[in-house]
Amino acid sequence: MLPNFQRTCRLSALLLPVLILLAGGMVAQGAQGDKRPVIEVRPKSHTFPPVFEGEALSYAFTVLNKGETDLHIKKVTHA
Amino acid sequence: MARYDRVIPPGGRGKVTFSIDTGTVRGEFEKKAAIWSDDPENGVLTLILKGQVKPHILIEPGGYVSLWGVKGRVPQESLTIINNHKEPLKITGIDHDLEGKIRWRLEEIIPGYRYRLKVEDISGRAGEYAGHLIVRTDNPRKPRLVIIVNGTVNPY
Repeated sequence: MLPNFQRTCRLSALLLPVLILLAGGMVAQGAQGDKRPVIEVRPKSHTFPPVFEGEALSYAFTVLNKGETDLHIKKVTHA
Repeated sequence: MARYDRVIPPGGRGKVTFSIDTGTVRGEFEKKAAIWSDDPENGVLTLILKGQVKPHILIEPGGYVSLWGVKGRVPQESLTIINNHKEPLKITGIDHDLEGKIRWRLEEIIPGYRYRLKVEDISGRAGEYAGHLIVRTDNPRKPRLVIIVNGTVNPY
């Protein structure tokens, strides 16, 4: 009976730090997972004043990143 | 065409710039654009650009004349040439490649701003023809207007 109890205690003592490390890692990972980029563009539309054919039209939208990690713009498409 | 910042740091700001070729757009337009990003909750963000592209000179009802009828009784057609600029427009000349088939006459409705171009068939015989009227102007951005002319004259 006693040797079994001792073996269990020894095993627990060995496993405990491993469990603590694993749990700590999971918590850290969870916290990291909450960090994400947040895109915000305001306003989302623009109306140009009337122009004559051939005149240049150009407009720059301002894009904000309200998140906690880098925002990556993968592509911009237009029709 | 679009130019954009690839990476925007947390709390930072970037730009997405659109350029529109107004040489290929006429009248009112509305263009949609989309920003594709790695924001997990807003991966595709739609933007709208609106505007109006005016022609320097407008031809109404369009840049074509269709002369259609029975020999000797082909109705005259007319076009209105409208100057959209504040500065007056001078029509400096009109040429065509339908010698002996058509005749034109230009009237000033509002001098410098609105003209009426009348075109009539003078072919005097049945048949079909096609050609162009070239209207020359003193507007350096639109020095020539091309009008397509089609004629269909039936024998009876």
